[in-house]
Amino acid sequence: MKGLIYKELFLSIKFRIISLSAYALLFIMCVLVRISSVCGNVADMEGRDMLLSTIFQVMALGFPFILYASAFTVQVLNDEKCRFRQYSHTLPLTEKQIVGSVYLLYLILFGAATLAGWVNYFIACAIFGEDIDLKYLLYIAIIGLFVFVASCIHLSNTYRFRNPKVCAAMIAAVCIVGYLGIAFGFIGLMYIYFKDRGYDLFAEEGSEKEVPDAMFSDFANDFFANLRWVGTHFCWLFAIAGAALVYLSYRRSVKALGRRGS
Amino acid sequence: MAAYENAIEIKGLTKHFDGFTLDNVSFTVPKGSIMGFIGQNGAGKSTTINSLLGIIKADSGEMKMLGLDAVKDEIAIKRDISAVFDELPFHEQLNARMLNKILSNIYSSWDSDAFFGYLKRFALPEKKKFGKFSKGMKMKLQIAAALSHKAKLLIMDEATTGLDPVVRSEILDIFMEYLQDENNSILMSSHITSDLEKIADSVTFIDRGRILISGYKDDILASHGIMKCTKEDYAAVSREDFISARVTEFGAELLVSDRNACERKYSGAVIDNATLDDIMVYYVNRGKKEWK
Repeated sequence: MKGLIYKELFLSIKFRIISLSAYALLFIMCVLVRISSVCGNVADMEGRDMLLSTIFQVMALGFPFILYASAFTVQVLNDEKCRFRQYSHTLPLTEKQIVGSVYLLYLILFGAATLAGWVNYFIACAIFGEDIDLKYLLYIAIIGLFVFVASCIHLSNTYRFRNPKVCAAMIAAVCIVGYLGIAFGFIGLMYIYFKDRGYDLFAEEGSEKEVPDAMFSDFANDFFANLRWVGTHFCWLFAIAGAALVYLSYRRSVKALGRRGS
Repeated sequence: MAAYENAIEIKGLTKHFDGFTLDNVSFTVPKGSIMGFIGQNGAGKSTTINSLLGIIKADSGEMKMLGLDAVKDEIAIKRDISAVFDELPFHEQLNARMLNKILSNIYSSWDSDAFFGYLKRFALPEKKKFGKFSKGMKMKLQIAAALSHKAKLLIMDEATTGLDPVVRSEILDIFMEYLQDENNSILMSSHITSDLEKIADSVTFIDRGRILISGYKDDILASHGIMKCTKEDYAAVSREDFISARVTEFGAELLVSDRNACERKYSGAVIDNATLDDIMVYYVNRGKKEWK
């Protein structure tokens, strides 16, 4: 098992270096903006606080995406191409061990990237002079869990379909469905929110049922407050759902690798 | 590991694919010997080897390796066997040092000194990526990896195909060295029958999913022969006495499977030694009986 973990690490090291370089570059850019806000062009800029707040948010919650992206990269698809999958059946390893090594590596990297994300958040707070809000640590872990689960599902597809094109098509389909689902879901939420308050989202301009502009920012505030509330109070639900999906992906991967008929 | 006589025992191995069936394949590879597994493309060599290695699941049949059941004791067997394929199964971004690190953490009996010793002997670079290796280098690397965990059985699928004669000769020397230990055995599938004629102790010939001949190479070569005769003489030869005949305008060449009997029956007939190549070609054409 350890040997296969080494294999994955060796194969993905180049991609990790590139991702971490991109992270370092963006990190430096954020630091430069911060320096500039103290003694450079940004110091006198209109909307300085807004800019700094946005950059802080990007650094605190956006950068973990880069860290997680660099963590969840493996070469399982290439196993098929170079016939390592075939070779792996000649090794003294069970299917559970072969698949388990990749999932275990993911889990370790999920932990490492989460830790790095938290350190990144503390540094961002120090640089931008923000107070440490422990909820952010939870949000970072939820982002990581989301990417971790998505990566595990993708991994199980890789074992199942053994074809890069099919896997890419699956990702594209999931993204399209996800995007449309989120977009329509969001519109639906807005529609219900405004209807409850006596407005119609699709009312003609100038009509009495037209939604006032201020109502949109109320909606945004309520939406994010609710999201934060769900994230804070039901994080255990995310953890359980994530663990269940990861386990199902693992089982699916083992089963798919065990298909030796073709 | 239990005491065993045969490194490989296959009985009634059957695997059905759409358009091809591996039909009731049975043969044994005695411990301490090298068996050549020959047959034309698509004859079923790789299917047999892949079934044996567990890469594909057989429909039925019994397979034993090193005295253990190939399915039930799969993991125990795989600690003591090595497989070499016609193509390098390692990622092109890896190098020999990385491979050593990977395999040393998979095989408990991995010997890094032996691995680097083989690399040195084969003049293979340790840090060069496999993607930049030539075909010969890739094959040597596979063999180095296969021999570095003290495997008792080497299974090779077309491992020498596509290699130049110098590299092939070098590899065959390594196999002979490996067989100095009487506990070691080799099953080697190949198109290149001349290699097998040099080193194989026994030969199994498969065609269209069926085993046609399996036995000691010397016995097979001694019993078979190429009978050369005129067209007139050929007409007098009973069709049961030969496998197939190559008929040209100058005469006929027949492969006989019982050379002594034919020499007695057709006194005066010229019967030359047959090579494994001849045997393969004539058996493949046995359906036509007569060919050009």
